Amino acid sequence: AQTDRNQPIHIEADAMRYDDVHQTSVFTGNVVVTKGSLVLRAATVDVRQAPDGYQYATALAAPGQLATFQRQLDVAPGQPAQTLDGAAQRIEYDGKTDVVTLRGQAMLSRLIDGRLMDRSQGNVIAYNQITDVFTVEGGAAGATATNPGGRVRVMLTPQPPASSAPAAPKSPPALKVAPKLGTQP
Amino acid sequence: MHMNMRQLWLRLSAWSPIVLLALAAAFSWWVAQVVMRAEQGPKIGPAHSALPDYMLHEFSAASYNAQGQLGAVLQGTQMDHRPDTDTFEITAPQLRAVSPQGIVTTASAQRGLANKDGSNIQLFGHAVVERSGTGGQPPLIVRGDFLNIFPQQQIIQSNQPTVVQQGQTVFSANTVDFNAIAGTASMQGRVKAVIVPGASTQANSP
Repeated sequence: AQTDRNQPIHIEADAMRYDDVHQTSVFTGNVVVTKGSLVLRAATVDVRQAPDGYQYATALAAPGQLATFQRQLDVAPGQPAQTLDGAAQRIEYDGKTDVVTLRGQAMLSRLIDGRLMDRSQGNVIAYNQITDVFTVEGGAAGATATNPGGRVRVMLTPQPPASSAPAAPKSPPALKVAPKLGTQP
Repeated sequence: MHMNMRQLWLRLSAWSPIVLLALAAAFSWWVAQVVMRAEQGPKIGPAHSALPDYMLHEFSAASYNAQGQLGAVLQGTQMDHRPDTDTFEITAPQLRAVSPQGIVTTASAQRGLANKDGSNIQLFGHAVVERSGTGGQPPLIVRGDFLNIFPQQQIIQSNQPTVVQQGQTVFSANTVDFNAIAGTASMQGRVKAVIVPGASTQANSP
């Protein structure tokens, strides 16, 4: 949720190794990263600081398992809680483009009050945090038990005609307006 | 919808344990001073016995750099030299060292043990090493019940729970191994990190 922004980050792991030459921190063994409502679980999480100053992070699942993340979404007061669940063999974060990429048996689900509303599956799901747009690519590598062909499968549940609350235009929450160009702060 | 992962990863690696490694470098003069002073003291017991052969009470050893500036001061309530192990045991060691760049390092513990050539210093009991912050960063503090320091190799290790703190960012683990020359820091066993945005680390990306 928006309020996650300045929450402290908690990381737990079995081990951590920092290498100044390569500017990397690698956390290994039952890694749990939490920040506000975000919870990320993986076997290893490594964070690299690129020369351009941006950070790139990769979360890897243990063999045969999936790395997962879960987050609360901002909802209007009084609205039921919405969470975003992601899972994949590999979750990458690009600090420059602010895109989270789920790779290998990728699945992104949105739940309202714990009930599944939308789900997309595929080989690769790229989710842009700024534009709230996500793209899904198919491919055999994306095959899972529930999606043997690995084809792109997106299931969207139309918003029920809310009696009082204004009906949300589309299932993904309102798109954010891209920051106007103008002078950078 | 906009939990900003960018913020998350930005904070995560802005904390750099490497700053800590410079601590190890601040010790090598220390033991040289202690050893030199101790050897000039009177011999009071047979060599190679477990009993200290010379002792210093309420001692203070200071070292100055070429420009005559105070480099560092080591104090302790007592220092014994043990001929059998050729080591120096210091009760309540208190260290304060200032590097040419003005970085202040302080260390204290209930007990310190140093070998003759100063290549290894061990701090026992409430060992605290603190290094002043640079570039507006808060000081960096290492706490543990045992810190094993190899000044020349710029290594700090501990096989006991150790906490490293800078501002509100705190790392803790069961064992730690920091190596300034290799530029690596590794922690094992129940590693926990709490990284507070903005409070202790500057965002260093453009």
